[in-house]
Amino acid sequence: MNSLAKHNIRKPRMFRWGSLGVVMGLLLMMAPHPGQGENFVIYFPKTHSIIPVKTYGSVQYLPVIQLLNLFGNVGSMKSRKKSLEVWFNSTQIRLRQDDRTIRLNNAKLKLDEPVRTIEGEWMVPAGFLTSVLPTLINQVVQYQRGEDRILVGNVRPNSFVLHLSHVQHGVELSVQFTEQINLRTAAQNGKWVLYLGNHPVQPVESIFEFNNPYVSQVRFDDHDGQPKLIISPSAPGLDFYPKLGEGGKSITAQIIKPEVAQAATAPQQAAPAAPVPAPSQPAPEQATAAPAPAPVPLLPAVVLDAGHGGSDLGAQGRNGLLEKNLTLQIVAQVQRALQATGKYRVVLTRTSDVNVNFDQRAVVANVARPIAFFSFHAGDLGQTTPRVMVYSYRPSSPLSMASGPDPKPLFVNWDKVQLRYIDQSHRLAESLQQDLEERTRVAPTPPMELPVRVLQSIAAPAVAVEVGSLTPSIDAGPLTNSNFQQEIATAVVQAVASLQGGQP
Amino acid sequence: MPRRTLVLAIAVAVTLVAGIIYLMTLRRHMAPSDANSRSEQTARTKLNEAALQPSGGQEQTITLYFPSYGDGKLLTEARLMKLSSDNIKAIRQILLALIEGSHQGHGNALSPSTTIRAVFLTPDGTAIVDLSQEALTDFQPGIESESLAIYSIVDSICANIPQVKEVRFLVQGQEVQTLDGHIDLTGSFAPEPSLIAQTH
Repeated sequence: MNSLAKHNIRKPRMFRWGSLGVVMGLLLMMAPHPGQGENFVIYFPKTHSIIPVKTYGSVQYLPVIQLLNLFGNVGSMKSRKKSLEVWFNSTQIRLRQDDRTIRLNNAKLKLDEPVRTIEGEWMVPAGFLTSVLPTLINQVVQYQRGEDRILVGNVRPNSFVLHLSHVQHGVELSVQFTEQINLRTAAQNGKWVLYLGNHPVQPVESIFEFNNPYVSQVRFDDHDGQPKLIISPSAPGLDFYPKLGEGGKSITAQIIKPEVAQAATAPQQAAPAAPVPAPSQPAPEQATAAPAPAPVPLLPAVVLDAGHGGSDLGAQGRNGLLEKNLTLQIVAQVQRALQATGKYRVVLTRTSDVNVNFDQRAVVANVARPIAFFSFHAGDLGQTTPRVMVYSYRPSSPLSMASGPDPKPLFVNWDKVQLRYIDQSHRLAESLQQDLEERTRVAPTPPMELPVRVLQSIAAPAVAVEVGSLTPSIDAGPLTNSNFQQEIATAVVQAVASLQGGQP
Repeated sequence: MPRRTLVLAIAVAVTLVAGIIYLMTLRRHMAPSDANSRSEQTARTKLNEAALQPSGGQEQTITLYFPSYGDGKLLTEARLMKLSSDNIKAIRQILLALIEGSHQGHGNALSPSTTIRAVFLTPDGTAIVDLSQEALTDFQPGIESESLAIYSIVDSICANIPQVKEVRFLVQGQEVQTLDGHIDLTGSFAPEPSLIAQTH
């Protein structure tokens, strides 16, 4: 009885302490606190660096002094309790804690989130990379929220096309890159790793899942500053025979069952002399290790393709306007409009005056797994200007349609992938044309379905938008009018929103 | 001068004069054929013109389709022609009529300087049309103009020669990805009647 009585007295006290603990815990969880460390990789034309990132609330922050050190000379610093003054090259930068304004000499620049000091370190939100850094270093900085890579200056990221095909007793994985790579292979934690040198590979979210007994996943990763492909075998004990192709722009790797590998490699002179060792199973402690912090979720991607570029000038206008430059202008407007919604991540197939072939455009688009793809062009659309025509894809022959994509392919035929999206693409084209016509009366003609080459290899709802007329006989002025371009941008935002069944 | 030397000198002189006269005659004979072969294009044009000559058949109404830039349509133009009973010659006649251009002021699918290098017809009804480089260089730029030019050819051939089901294009004997960066030219093209403007 006594012991029972004791328990009866103690229990409520324990409950009170427990409740207090739970409440304190909840309060701590609700308060913004610095998250686990992550890295951003900063790519320059010939090198790259890593910078640590801390997450405060849902915002990613970078250490400002460490960041500036990567780009120039950080001179004298005055750090007070609530403010920081730094001389960077010949610019005085002034920051205040919890303030969204940054002063560069006498100019004020706005940030999307306030400056913080986290664990005694002055930190700026990731938005600093696009709103302040380009002014400070006078270079182009490409960064999009949700991504963990920053491209500074004239960096042309490598892209790749990946194919998987059956070979005897296994599969052959072939990866074709747009730029030369320096390949190094390793086996780590039950996976094969192909290190791809220092050059950035775009974009980051390249995960390919397979359903076969040999390879289950191929994933691109550069979180540690080392671009690499991580290949996960479907079962332990398989043999892996990687080989760098001619010109250093391709890799072929055979993944073969070991009991037949000997026989299989004998006639295959192309295979390397020795396979990369079969990856060992992951160490047991990895299975019980604490999970990594959840990454900031990527926003849905919209790919914008500026037609032509480099030596491919496209159409030419009377006043010297070139299609390749006009399409870049329009893409920039559409990019701003999409990013202003805060709902989409924009991926561009080109950002400068460079030659990009159809496959490279498709690679950039497809690895981003976009919700929509828009290709912009200009051409002869008759005497009335400005005009807009919208196109979706249809093969040139019904036979191509009949022999469409295999419903259960190991890998979809690159040239037929748009066949899967024909209906969605047509609806997207209709939505865009109708919206433009209702608001501006510049797109009276219903969308046309044509075998447009750039749309053919896109694995997403895809349309081509042509503005006109851009010909030597007609004044191209109306096409460069910012109101006209803004109308196109608004219509694209509306069309993407319609595709998702919502408002922009 | 010994008599023997004199005879030899006269013989050499006569041979020399005869040789010069022969060479001059040869030059006169060669000049016209040299002028004829001055340009490959002239020769091809002559060949094309020969193909357009009526081949003894009856005149019939053929339908040609020309692009109408700005509204994405093909405009119909009827013509009286003696279309050859040989399908390959007939395809060539249609192409030459398109190169010649519209009599009603419609847009042109092909530049007037385009020549037809070759035409083939496979047993399954695919016409293979090999055009000269001018089809690429003298081209109206744009998705609409490129597609209308292609379907102007495809629809015109298929409408007048029922044996032709599809048309495939080569430029200078080679397969090309596109004419001017827009429409995929690597496959065969079936006719697209929906592009033809309805006449009222």
